[in-house]
Amino acid sequence: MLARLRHIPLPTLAAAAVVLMGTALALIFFYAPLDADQGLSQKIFYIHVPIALTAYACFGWGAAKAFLHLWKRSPGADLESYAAIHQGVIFGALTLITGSIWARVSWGIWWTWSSNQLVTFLILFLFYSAYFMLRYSVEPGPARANMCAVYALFGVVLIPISWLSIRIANDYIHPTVFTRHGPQMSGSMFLAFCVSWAALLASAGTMYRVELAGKRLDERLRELRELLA
Amino acid sequence: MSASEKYVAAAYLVLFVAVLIWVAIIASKLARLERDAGELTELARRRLEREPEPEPERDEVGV
Repeated sequence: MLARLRHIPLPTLAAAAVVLMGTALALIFFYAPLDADQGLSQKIFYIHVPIALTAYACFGWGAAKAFLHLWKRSPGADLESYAAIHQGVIFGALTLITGSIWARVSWGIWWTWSSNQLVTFLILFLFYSAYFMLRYSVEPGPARANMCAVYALFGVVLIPISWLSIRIANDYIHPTVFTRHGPQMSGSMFLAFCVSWAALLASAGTMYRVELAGKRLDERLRELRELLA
Repeated sequence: MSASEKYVAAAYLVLFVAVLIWVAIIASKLARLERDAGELTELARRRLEREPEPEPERDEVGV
């Protein structure tokens, strides 16, 4: 299925992202009911959680590409891993910002160190932010590609830890919406959530493909410059 | 505007601003790539002008 997604033309993917985002906003503000407990502030959930899940997906995709680089030496896998991790860091930063805003309105604080979910996500974000320090401190070449791939693979271990931390450690501060019994919300809320997540995944996919195309073009121009020099 | 409304607006605005910043960064990168491509095209054109194209080989036709 992922291989098929790769063949979707970029303009189609971008258009899908725009349509899905518009639909998601309409569903969030005009279809999904107000939460009985949190009221309007619960609307942040519809972007905060999908952004966080998209960040996980980007880091996972980056790690998968890193694995392909190490295993099959797939050409371009290193660059694809880099672009995916870059998107992951962007969505990770957005997760922390939107989460912080939600925490302020719900708990009265911007941040708490007592929530395992928050701390593990911050560790995951900082770990992948440091990926760029590693990448830009080593000369381009096979050694850098291998080092970055190993680093990206180590980081992926943090994803299930971050995801499961609230379930394992009885985190009473951070709410748990998805339990073993399914999503703890009404059908209309779940529909708005799913469309919002699809919109963010399509946006991340578009951004990933645009960034990748730019990087590839940059590489080819550099090669051309060397040939003409 | 209530406090909740302000925070919800801020959260959605963050996403919107992030997308705008990303578009601005990509636009600047694209402008640089366009400039680089222009320089390389100019370089290739000058090189072609300096080195005339080799004469195509002709088969001698005996009389």
